[in-house]
Amino acid sequence: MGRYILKRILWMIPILLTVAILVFTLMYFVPGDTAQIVLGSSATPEQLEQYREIHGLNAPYIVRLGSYLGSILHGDFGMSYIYSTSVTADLLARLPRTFIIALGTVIIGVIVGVPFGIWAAIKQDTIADRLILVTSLIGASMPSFWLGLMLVILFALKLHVLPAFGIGGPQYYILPILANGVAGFASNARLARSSMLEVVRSDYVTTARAKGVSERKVILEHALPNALIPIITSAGSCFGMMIGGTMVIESVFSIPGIGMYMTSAISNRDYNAVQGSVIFIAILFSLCMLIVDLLYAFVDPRIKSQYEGKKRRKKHE
Amino acid sequence: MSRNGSAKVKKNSAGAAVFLRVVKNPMAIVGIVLVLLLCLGAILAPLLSNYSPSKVDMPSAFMSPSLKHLAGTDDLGRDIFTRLLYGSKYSIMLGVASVLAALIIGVILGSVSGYFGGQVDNIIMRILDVIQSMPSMLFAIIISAVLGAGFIQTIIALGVATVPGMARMMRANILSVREMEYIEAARSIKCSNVRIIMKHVIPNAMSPMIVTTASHISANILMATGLSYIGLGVQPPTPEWGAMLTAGRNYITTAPYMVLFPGLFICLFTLGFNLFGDALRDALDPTLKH
Repeated sequence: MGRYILKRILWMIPILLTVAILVFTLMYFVPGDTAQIVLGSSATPEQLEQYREIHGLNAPYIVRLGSYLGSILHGDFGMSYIYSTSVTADLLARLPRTFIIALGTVIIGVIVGVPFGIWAAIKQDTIADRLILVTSLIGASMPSFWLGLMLVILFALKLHVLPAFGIGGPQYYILPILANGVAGFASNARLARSSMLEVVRSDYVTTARAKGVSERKVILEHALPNALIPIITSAGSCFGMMIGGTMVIESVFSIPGIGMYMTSAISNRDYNAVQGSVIFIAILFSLCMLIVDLLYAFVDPRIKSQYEGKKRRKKHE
Repeated sequence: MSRNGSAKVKKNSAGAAVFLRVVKNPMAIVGIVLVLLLCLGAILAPLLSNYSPSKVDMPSAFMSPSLKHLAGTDDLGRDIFTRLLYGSKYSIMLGVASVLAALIIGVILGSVSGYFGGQVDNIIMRILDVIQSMPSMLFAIIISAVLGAGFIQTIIALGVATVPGMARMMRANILSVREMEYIEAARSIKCSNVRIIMKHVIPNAMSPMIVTTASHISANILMATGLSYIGLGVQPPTPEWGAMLTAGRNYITTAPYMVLFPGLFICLFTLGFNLFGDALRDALDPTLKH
């Protein structure tokens, strides 16, 4: 198991380096002159040239890429062209806010969504099941930022019970988390329900029932462990959706987190800040996926044993 | 000749059975009706509404929903309902075109990767690993940032962000089909690789892809509106639903209907595709239903 974890962590390094190269290259080919954007249209050609010289913008692609990768490895994402601040410091300062929203979203999505889905499957075709199914269907069909705006209209503008936007006490995070969490809740509940339904119909569950095992034990000991495998996979793939949702939700509620930092950097063409945020989010996302993979291996003994055997088979999963 | 004929009949009857199961499912009917209604709305927009989707009419700005203006008017006095009808085609095309493009590329990549295995598989999968180490929304945001805002650019951004999921799924299907006896049989009579992939592997690995396609369409429509919202994606004055919603957020206190109705249209459309996709999945996998 230790070997699996080590392999999985080491594998993240080339992946993230390639992400950095990819993002740098994409940004490199974006039309537009950084010096011109920063200094404005009134800058003289001499000023532009001086700026490019100072910031190393004249160097060829490969040199700039090399120095960028070198500084990333030291944890330095460079300076923001617009604000002249350290991108790393900016991102770290914004991380807690994004983290709170992401964590809240995951709690609603996974810790609430999955049990509801399992419950719906156990109570298949009852009113509770239908209610969860319809709620999750509607939840999965709503743009989260639209739900956010609707929540603002209701709770902030009409009822005046929660703040509409900005940051402050914990109450400022309720609406963003709710708006972002519903989609995760919906997809996890739906997936948990269908995985559980599939397992409940399998032969070993029928056998357990036929042996006279109590229904509670059948669900908890026979069905659930097997249903958890696809559930964890789907919950894992939901992380991406939730983190992606956070980017947009932050601009709905004007929360100065990483998402808003990135979107404003995109509109300001602040490439260092864009690159830094993307790589930073990719690192966070990879860490989440690492946890998911470890959980996966923990729940499914087949994967564990595979990893103790050959590495190649994992790719066929 | 006769063998071909009987194979065709069998395939048709399997297709017909799936079709019957979908049609029998009331949820699927609701989904199909929702999608068809919105498609019809897009086609018949000029007949259904007397207003222009783009003509500015300042005196009638900010009119609340009424019989005359079903969804009210926006800041420039344009009838919101009319704009929503005309806008359907953008959202439909964004969702459908981006997913179809991703499906084609994904099926090719996944098939090649899954069928040949070895180094080819390794290279393709590692590239997908890199793309998938970013949330797909984030990747779509970067591509849009690089390509700039616009309709075609958004389709490309969404399509590229959808390819890895499609390719991975296709590859998994191919891996299970590859081991089937009929593939071995085809190989034993010296069918070429291209023929085996095109005639035997892909058709048998496609059914899970159809379900994914339906659910990706709704996911991509949601992503497209998200892109519009943060200023990438389709730009005003195009009456795309996400762009309309974005324009409306500045008037959320005075004219909340400017945000309400575009969102409702997005919900109905994605709900339609989700319902249809679910029914299709159940129909193709009858073990779930009984």
